[in-house]
Amino acid sequence: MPAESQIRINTLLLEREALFVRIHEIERAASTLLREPYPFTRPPLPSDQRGKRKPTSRSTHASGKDKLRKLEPGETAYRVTYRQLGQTRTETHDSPDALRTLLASQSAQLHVLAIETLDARGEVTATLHLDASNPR
Amino acid sequence: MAKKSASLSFRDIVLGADAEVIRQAHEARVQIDKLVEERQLAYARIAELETQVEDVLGETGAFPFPAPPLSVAGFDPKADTVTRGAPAKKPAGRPAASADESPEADASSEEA
Repeated sequence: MPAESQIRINTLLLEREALFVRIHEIERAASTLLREPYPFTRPPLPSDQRGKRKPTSRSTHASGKDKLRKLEPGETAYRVTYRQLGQTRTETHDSPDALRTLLASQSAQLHVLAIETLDARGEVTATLHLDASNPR
Repeated sequence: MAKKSASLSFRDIVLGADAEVIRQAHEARVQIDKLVEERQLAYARIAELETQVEDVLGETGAFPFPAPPLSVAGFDPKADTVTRGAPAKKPAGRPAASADESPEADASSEEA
């Protein structure tokens, strides 16, 4: 996850935590006023909902590690093609770590379509991963 | 113990309690109403924040939101993260909640 996104999420979580602290104080104050525990109910929150995960994402992750072999002699980089928010993107990486993170981050909004290895001329030498159900 | 609140008429209140109790109850009720309103606003803001987190992530229902740092009504005090898909915890022996402010999880048991 990009650092900027992580910082943004952390900022939101900090504010969320502060609000929960305030709610705790409010509930205690109300119970003190009532001279017994106040019968609060909690309203529903987005965090109560379970999201729908793509069942293929886990199997992809599990097999993704096997597919991300080290570059062999003559190969200079990995090329990954993925679809994010409806747009198809292609990136080149020289380390499989970023690709493992990408595979593990697959979701409804992010789907890895193909991972290939390239030689010095930029030509494909091997296809390590190809999602045939999602044409590029 | 929390009695199931029935709507009291003006007559019930005037005839059912002495003036001092009525005065104290009024003061408490005014303050509690303000606290309840602030609590509702806080939860509305929390819902906005959680939605924003999921927007940043690009996926709903997957982020392991941490449990509140202090005990709060409706959350499992022993959980580290919010349990998704599980109903809010209800203490044993209390009637089921039918609306906001009806008896529910007691987060104030630590109160003196």
